[in-house]
Amino acid sequence: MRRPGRGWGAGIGWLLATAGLAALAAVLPEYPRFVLSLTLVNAIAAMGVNLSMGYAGQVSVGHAGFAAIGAYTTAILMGRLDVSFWATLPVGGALAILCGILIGLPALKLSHLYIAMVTFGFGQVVNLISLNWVDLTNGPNGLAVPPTSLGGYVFSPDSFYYIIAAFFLVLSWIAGNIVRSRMGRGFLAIRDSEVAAESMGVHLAKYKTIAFAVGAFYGGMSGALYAGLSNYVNPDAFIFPVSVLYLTMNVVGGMGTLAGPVVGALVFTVMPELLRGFAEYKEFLSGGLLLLFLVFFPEGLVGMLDRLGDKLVRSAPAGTASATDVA
Amino acid sequence: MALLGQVLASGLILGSLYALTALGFVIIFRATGVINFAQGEMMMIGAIFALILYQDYGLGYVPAFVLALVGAWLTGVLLERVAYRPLLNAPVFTVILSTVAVAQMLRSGVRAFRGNELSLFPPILSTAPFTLAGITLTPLGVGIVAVSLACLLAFVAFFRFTRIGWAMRATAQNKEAAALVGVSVPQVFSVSWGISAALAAAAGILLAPLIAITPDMGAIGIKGFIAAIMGGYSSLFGAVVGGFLLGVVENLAGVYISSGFKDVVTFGVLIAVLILRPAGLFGSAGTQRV
Repeated sequence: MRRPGRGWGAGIGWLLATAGLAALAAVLPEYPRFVLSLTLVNAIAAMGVNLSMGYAGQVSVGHAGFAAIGAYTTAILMGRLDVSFWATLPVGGALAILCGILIGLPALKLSHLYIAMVTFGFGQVVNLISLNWVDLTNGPNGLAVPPTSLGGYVFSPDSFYYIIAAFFLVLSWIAGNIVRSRMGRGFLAIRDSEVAAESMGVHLAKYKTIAFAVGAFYGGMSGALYAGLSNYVNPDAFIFPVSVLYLTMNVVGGMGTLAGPVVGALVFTVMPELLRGFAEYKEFLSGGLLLLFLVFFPEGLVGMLDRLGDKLVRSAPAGTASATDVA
Repeated sequence: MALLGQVLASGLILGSLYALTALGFVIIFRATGVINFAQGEMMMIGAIFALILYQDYGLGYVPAFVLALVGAWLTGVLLERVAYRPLLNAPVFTVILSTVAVAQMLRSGVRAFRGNELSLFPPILSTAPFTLAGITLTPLGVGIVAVSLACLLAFVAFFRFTRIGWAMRATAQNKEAAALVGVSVPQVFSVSWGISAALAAAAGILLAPLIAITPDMGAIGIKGFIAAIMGGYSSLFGAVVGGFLLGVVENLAGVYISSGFKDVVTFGVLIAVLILRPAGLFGSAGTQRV
């Protein structure tokens, strides 16, 4: 993968992305704009999975649990205690980080397989609690979330898009910086070989904990934004298949690349809207796509495009060779 | 005290089914190092096979049971060929994701095919309760435990006394060495997925008269998974003990804590075991290869 550059090129890229998201908002009618908002919300959660799993190699099959923490924190604080969205957001993020660290603790001494189990168990526990702790979460009926306001302006689900787009840009920018920093290189080293990483001086416990915390934070933010967007949370939004969907977005988009989870989120949020008539086959199709990509295209869409691009410019003098980032 | 005895008895009934499922998880793990997230779906498939054979084709219970096990075995072998063998050289967690994909396809495929229809498997044995030493039991419950134990014994015999059983044990210990002495490792993998599917199917069929058959009934397969972890995940004996233990713990939690939170307790036990004693009760702590 070619790493996004720094300096002018990157600055222009971010400007273009911002302009693109703003322009889309101007052209898109209300419903497609809602779908776009959902895409960005899903992309943020998928980015979290990507940071923990695609970069640091820490398997997460319970990321919907972190999203649920963010969403329910928002719903409970806003709905029951009249706290503003802007004050609940950091609380949701912080609680998700706390859960991420707690989940990460056993991971410090366990292998991949056990981490898969712990994260899976975590996702299930959060879901079961949201179903059964009726006094707090209103059980299966869910909770209504009051609309968000800023300086007297009350956001509709339509204009909430701007908040989501802003957070999406900031969180993508942070993810890009994490990946290119010392921390990101540590993540990659751990993913490729824990033993080698440790012997080269990567502090395993610290970096793994950070990887879990960062991934969880993205999950929590995604959940909180989802609550603000849909003005309603219920346990169904955070069941196990949702965690699987975040994974699928990464595998199909391209795990371990920055654009992968965004592309995957776009595919898997827009596709069900286009295939409305086939709603009952939706899960079958996404399961099939996951299997297909795992077996035949493990580098995902972004990896495939990258390789295609490399082929096209092969005549040009080769730059520094870079390892492919396929997990 | 009578209540406690009652709780233990119902715990053992569920526990025997968890034990069968847990055994299926462990067989695959020992052979291939993979956690099979589609194990619960194999329970569901088995129950549906049996239901179709028994109800639509009018077979007797025993032929329906046996044919459903064969069907599940073949499904397991087919899935190994299509979804897991191509990933033999991929990282283990890719294969785990592949089982997740298979689980989702089985679940949604069955839903598309049958709808969300609830089907109840007609009880084979009477559910009229009788009392034994102050504990109320039903012939159905006793039958479930008996058939589960028979399946467990059949598996142990297979594992101990057949050639392929030896090959499985050899492969679990050391794949390369097993291949060197002439064991066909791909065949062992294939048989492992097949047996594991058949055990899950047996549990599913036995469970069917107790809960409704739906595309989502496989969710209960998670319990087998937790049982396997409690037992140590690499130990067959541990899986069986873990299954019974989990059934009892769950029933105790349901009665003495709250029925809504009994699953929360189950998962709490899972996370606690993983943190405090990751090797489980009977597992050996794995050494890491460099």
